[in-house]
Amino acid sequence: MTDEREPLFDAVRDAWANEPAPDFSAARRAVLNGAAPPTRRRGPWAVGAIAAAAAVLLVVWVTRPEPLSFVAGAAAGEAGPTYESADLAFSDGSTIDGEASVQVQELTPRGARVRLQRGTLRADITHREDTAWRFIAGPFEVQVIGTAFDLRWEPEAERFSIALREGEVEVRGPAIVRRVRAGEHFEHSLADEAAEQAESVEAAELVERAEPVEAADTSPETNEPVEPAETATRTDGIENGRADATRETRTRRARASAAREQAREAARLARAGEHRRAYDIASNVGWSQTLGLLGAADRLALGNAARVLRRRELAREAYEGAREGERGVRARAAFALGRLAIDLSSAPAEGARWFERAIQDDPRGPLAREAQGRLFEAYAAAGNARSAERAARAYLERYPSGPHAGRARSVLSP
Amino acid sequence: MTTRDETALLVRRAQQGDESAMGQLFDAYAPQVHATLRHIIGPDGELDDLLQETLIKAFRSLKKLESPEAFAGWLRRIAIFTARSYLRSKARRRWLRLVDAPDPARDDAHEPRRLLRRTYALLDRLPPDERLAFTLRFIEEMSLPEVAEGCGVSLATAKRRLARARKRFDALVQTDPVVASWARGERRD
Repeated sequence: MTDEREPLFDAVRDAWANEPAPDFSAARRAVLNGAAPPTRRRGPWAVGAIAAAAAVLLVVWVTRPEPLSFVAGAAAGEAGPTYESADLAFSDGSTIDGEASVQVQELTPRGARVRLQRGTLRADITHREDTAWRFIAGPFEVQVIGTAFDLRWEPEAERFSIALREGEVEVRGPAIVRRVRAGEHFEHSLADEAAEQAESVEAAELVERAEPVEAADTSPETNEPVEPAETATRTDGIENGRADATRETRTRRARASAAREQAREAARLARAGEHRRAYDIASNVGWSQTLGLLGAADRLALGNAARVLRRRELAREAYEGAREGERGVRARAAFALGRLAIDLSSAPAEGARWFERAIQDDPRGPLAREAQGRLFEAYAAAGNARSAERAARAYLERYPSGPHAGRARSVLSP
Repeated sequence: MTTRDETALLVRRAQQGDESAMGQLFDAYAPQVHATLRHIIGPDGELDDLLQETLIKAFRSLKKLESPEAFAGWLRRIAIFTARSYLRSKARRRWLRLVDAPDPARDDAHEPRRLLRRTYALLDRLPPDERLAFTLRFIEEMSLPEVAEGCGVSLATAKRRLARARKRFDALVQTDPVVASWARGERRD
């Protein structure tokens, strides 16, 4: 088909293909439950009744809790995509901006779950009685009631920091739960944690082994020999303080160590195909925390476990985390995200985008042929005939006797 | 995506009341129905309702479908008729000023979305039957016989509608410099 308006129609079709995938779950429920078709066209006789009902419904409507909405820059924002330079304004008056990659994962009537993928964001969260905002940064989670803060996450260095300007937050990490108040700054590095723990173990062992004479030898107050009983008295306060700190450090160390161990076990089970056990262990530690403790390949394995168990959002989080890995893992994660979009979200346009990325990331990789096959099917399912034909043609050029070749030919000559 | 044979099998099972088969049909075809509807209707808040309406109508009438192999085309025709009813109703309501005309000048930072909004604001100004033929042909990329069948008219009538729609649309495009520049191929993402 040719037409002098063809560039416009091409652009319109492309724009549709790139629109976010719709969520069919509500329609699916309604259709399969045999609901009455939605009514829109009404005769004049119905106007009075509708007006009366509308008056009643208006009261319900205005008090009905709606999920928050937000704008990103000047455009309507949505949960799911990553915003590379955060400039988000929410309907409750909260704002997030800064040099950061940010993904709004979930919107609720009382707040949102926001993942800081990297960089520094500045958040001003409007305080209300029931505000519930959560920020995820690597394995850390910040629970917010109403406050203003600067949050930073450096994934390469595994360094987390938060500076409170107003209010109070609770930070939860693999081995910490910490309240941070206005004017305070809290920084934590997972990489430094191991060294810190080693030092604290030495300190703990010194305190535990400390005989009174040895304590006198290590006392900074005197080099004089001291009687054991006297030394014990003088060092009580110091030792009690040290012992408290040591207990806290050991508890943290034990928690961190257990969390790492459990995360590794979850990944091992996921790779072994024991999806339910892997999922249970990771959920017990905390899904986000577990992912933050693992490398990209292990995140991919956990994503597979979540996908098999039809935990769509958890699988997506894991796969997106795996996109931080090397080329092969990145491509496999993109392929998995494509499958997820098609199989669990009925979102072929989104699936097509991920299959395109999988091919770009590793064009000669083990999944490239399958991705190319699924790509044209996804475009066809999305109603984008032109792109489906282009992808089918590319498939036949590269894999003329591949398993999707028959389907590709039928797309080109239906 | 299911093949024609798989679809026919699912339809037969669904006709006998198999809910799992209905679910599979929904999953396989809802995206296509949605794509067809949005190509015709444009960015419109009623899209989800129209999708639901189409599929509820289809599933309620499924037992009357004599040839399960024809399910995909039959479903698409239901979608097109649903969209046509909606366009006609919308045109009446606009005539009565019960709906606001879209504001094509409203700015939108997302260029493809801005293009969609502006293009469909122009399409809203075509008579519903012409707009249906036009979008089926140029956005949904249907062949002329398919357009005629979708519109429920003869091939000759479909051609006449398309010719009129093109003429009107060409004139309308000149009123919007953004759409006009896309039509001339001067802008790409």
